[in-house]
Amino acid sequence: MLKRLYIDNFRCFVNFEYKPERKQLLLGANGSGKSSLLDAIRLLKEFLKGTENPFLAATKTRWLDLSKQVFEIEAVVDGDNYSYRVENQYESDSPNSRVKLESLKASGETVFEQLGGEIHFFSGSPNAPSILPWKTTNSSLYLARLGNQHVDKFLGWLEHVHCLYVDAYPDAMDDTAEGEDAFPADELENLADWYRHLAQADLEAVLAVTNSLRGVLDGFVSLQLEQAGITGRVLRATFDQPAKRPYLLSELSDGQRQLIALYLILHVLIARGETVLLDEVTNHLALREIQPWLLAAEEAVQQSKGQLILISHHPEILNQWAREYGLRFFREENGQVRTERFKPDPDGFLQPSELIARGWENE
Amino acid sequence: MNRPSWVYVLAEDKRQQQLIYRFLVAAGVNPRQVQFELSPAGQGSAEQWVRENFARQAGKCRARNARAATGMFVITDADTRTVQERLNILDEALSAAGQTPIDASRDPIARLIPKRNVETWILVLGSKDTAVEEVTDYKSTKTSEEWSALISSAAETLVAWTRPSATLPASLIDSLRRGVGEIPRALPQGN
Repeated sequence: MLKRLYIDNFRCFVNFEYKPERKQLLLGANGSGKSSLLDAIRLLKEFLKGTENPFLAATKTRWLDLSKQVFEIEAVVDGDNYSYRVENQYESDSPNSRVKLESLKASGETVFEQLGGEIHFFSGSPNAPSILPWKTTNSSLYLARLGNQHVDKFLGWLEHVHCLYVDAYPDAMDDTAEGEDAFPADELENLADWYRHLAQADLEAVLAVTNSLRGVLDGFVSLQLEQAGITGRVLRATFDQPAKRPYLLSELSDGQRQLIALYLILHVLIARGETVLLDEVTNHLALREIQPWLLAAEEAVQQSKGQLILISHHPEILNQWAREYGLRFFREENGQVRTERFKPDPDGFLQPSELIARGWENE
Repeated sequence: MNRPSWVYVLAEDKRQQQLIYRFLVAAGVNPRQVQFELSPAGQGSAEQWVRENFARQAGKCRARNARAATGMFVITDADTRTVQERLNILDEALSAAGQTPIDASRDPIARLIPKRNVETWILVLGSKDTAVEEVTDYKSTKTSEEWSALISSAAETLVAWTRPSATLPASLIDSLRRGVGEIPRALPQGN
């Protein structure tokens, strides 16, 4: 479970600390930093793969001229507390950053450190690391993955942190699965590949998704992967209309595609207890579909001990979650992002969505 | 009286909602047949919000019943009042809105009034602890996660106890016995 994120000198985040809960609704005005928080996590995930460094000078806070950018991640994974820190250094004449410091601690003990171009591996004795000179352009944590179980556990956990924006436009969500993907892409554009993997690896989840979709899509029977070429498959949805050929994913409505994506997220990621951050995922949904999904997701988080963090402006979600789980993002006068717990109407009269629509939520 | 095909639930807070939601799902009701509305208020004024909205929502459900069987659950803690006092308050709210009091033989509206509060019911239903009584406030005896963990078994027990053939324990607390009796008439048909 993600316990803490610290960001300094990244976009609108300056000395910013975020402590997520198991269930949380991030709310606030446009431009208050909610989606940028998810972007920071996405970029950190990309960075920690070690193949490229996505932290460019353009990601620094505009109104500061600081050369150091810092990220910290704290997580509890199967009872172990992990604390990761990276410091990126920017030179004035380069758009790229280099990694000045990178470290991972497990329950307070350093298990990996890269400092000034030297990697300290702690796989043997914690007091006598083996040292390797290394380049500082990218993250080097992955180098210790094979030799250190804590590094492996932390990076493995991070793969199961999902920052998703479900873009339901047909061009974004591809019908064709050329292979299998174990994880959904950030915008679920690989939904067909992910489903192809699940159809092999997690039939129970696929069955649960099918059952849920039968309840919400009129006449829905199942999702099918149909052979396309030698190795490819296309994802189709079959309906209880014998005369009609199954619909390609791209032939469904935006809302239907979004429902398929949401119930996959629910029965696969949330049900497995993973950390899921969802940005505005209800844009195309009929109003009637939002509450049943939200209640089922809330139950699944509770059962699986996972973590579900939503960004939403939707009244239905605000009214269901803001009072208990709401965290308001706002900008201070100098531009930096701060948060506070959502304060419900003190008179107990206005629903959170009404309060927010009037702009009274910070009074 | 036809079994409702759709039900509206008016609740004070998330814990009440969780109990009703898990009960309805365990009873086989499609979540799309249910709409919850939660009080926006914190502790203390949530009861007032439920009371003030009850008559309006009951009126809508009654009016819709003429064309489609529509059920309603209202759940509000008795706290330090008696269950009868809370029932009277709800009836007065109906009367003030120009409506008749709830008629158990005609209205698919279940008034659930846990005493002392919903945590009392969750303890009785979830743990079957016969020492639980209606005066003590058990809310602070467990964490939020512990309450949540207990709600699943509480909901299963509630399903079992609302079956027509069910025999309720002789020692069952009064507010829950009364609530169990109200539920079937507002319960939508399962799938």
